[in-house]
Amino acid sequence: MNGVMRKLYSEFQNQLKAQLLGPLGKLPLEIRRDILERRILDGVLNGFVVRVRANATSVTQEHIDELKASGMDEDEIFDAAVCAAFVAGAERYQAALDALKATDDAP
Amino acid sequence: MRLECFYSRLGFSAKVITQIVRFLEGFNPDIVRVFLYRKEFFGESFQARFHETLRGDSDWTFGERELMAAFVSFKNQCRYCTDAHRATAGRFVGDATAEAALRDPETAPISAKMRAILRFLAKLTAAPRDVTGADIAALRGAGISDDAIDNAAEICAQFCVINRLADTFGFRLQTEQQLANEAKTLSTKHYKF
Repeated sequence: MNGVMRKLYSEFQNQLKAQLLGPLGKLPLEIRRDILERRILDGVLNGFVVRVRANATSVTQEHIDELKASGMDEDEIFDAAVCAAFVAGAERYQAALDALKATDDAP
Repeated sequence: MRLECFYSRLGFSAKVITQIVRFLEGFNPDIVRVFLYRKEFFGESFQARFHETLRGDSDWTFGERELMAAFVSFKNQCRYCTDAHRATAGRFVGDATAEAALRDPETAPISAKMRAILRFLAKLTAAPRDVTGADIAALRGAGISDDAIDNAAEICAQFCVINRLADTFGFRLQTEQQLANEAKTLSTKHYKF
């Protein structure tokens, strides 16, 4: 495998992750980091993030309203959703990459 | 959509782009607003990569990649993205083939390579931790290059992100006419605004 495309996409993911942790985020940095590292969060945000990551079709307006009632604004909810969705995508790509590497490394 | 900011807080350039998209397609797909909303944080770079993934150099044709996008979306039960990319795939491979591939790749009139990669994408989408070197070996055995496997995995990763955002933010489903307009734009132009 020449690995050109694989390297580029890995680079893209790293760059996007850095961007999500950068100064343009509205959700507090430590919470964005916790979401990207799959750590357990406080309050209703944890349930929302898990839902986005694992079963986004079940998200309803009530879940959004619950976050707002807890004090989050729309910018923060946007950041939380984007970070959670990013994790789901990155996990899939990493799984494929690991499988490719496993076969590359096989005797 | 469930966040009001996608309508009320787009910047000037974003509003201009939404008007251009409306002119081209007759409406504004919700994905456009999400990509444009605070675009420097997420949408700008993600969308640019989206274009590379689906329209850049690859062993896979545009139609095959659109079919993969629709298939991953279908497996994620994301109706919005399934509709959009099934319609676009249909312009390349035919509507009946696109529909058949989503329902059952094993019996659909698609190539052996496509059948193998869709089998792989079903697993990668639903159970990524179960993917092993044996799955890769099966793809190689079907004559699929590692770069082509990588491109398919990239499509899966990107749609696993977009599907979640579409469902979380409550994208509005499109009418048949809107889907046809969008598919025409995506198949004849590209994913860049």
